[in-house]
Amino acid sequence: MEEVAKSFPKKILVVDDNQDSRELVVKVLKNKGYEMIEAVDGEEAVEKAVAEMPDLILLDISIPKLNGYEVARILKGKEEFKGIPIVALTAHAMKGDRMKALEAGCEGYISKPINVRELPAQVKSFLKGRWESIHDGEKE
Amino acid sequence: MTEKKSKILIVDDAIDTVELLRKRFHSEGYDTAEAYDGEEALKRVDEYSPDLIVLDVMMPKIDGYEVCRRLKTDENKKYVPILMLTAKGGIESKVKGLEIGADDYLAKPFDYKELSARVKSLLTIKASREKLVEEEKSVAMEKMMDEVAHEVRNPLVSIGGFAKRVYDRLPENDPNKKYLEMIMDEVSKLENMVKLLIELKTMAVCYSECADVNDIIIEVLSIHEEELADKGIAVKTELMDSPPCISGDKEQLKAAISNLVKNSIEAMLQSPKMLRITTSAGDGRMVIEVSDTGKGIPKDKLKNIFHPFYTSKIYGPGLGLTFTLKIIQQHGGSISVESEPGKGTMFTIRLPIRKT
Repeated sequence: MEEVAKSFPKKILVVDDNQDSRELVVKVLKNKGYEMIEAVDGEEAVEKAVAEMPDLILLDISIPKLNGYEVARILKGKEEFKGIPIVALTAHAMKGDRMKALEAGCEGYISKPINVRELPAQVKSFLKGRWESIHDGEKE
Repeated sequence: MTEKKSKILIVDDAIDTVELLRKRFHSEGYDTAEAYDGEEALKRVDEYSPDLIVLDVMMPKIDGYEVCRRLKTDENKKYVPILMLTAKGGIESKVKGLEIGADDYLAKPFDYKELSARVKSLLTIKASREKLVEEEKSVAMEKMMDEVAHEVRNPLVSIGGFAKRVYDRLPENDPNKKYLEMIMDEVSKLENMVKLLIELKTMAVCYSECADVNDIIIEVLSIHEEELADKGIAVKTELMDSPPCISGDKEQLKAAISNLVKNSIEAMLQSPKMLRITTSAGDGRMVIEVSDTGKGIPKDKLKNIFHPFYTSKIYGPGLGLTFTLKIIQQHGGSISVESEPGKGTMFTIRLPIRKT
């Protein structure tokens, strides 16, 4: 388990309209000690992000109302979100999506289907600044 | 990486002299090893491979002259500088020492400051000599690569071409077709390698435009998009807002960074898989970092990775990093690498910002 997460839980917003994949992410990360918030479409994503100020946003690109690029652009347009990493979740087959996500201001991407074994370490790395950090405390 | 400490072997049967020198050398930041007679000295040279030997002449078993003579006639050790120390201050013994190859000579009792200065100068000479050898080696290597590339190219074309002709003439279900396919495949791999070698040799920045590194990185990521997704590698970018221009050939820079990304992808076989690319500016330079959480490169291999044909891969000519290094150098930049086995590798590219 993550020491940091135990003592001071980081808040993660998961935006995905697909219930199964959203719940999977929530379950895996909750298990690691993160506080999870969920949103099912672009509008809810922006609302919850502004209200809750999460430490990290996992953002599916193809979601109703506002798509992921629009959400990223809106949030990154706000000063207070400049330092909050937004990570795009993109379907494997969708070539070019990932680059568009980076251009829209996302700090990175994780390709779907999400690898449950990899996800915690990847999330941890997005939360921290440096590459070494993803190994801290990960060795069980 | 921290600068390597120079290693000095102190040889003297007088224990107090050895102690004194050891302390002084340590306080100046050298690493030392000690030997108390000639025989031990020869053994220690093998184990310790010093950068310099401070050698007393008067010693039991084998004396300093003999140690010096043996080392100077050994092809592998003759370039280790030897500073002879002795109580004999006469011209004759100095000449004898120098004649058998000692690089410098100091009479006891010596002034430590003088010894220190001489040690420094001998080490400097050794370092510049090594650098020269290194440069000569790389020039010779390049020349050889160039010749081999040109010599190999023509026969390759024939092999590939004839294989193709035979292939085309065989009936559809001929069992030999698959062997010919293998020949053609391997030939085309070799042809690519030769092409790369020739490009490496003739490459020059002929085109210079204002390039935005962030754009370059996004384009590089898009080249590797599919492979990254296939392998489940997450990508993290920390790109600075509106980076200043660098001047150069965008296509070449793309190729240079693309090679690093390719290496990273190939190094990441196990979880966690994260590729991280950052851009920042400082000191009149754009700094691009490409890091992975791959298997890392052992310390003793790090210095070789930019050498042509150095590779840890099973297949592949190992020219990628050489190519990258050359491109970055041609752009007036530098590249450095840090790595920790089992944790990952980070390449840092520094490129001069274009002056407006």
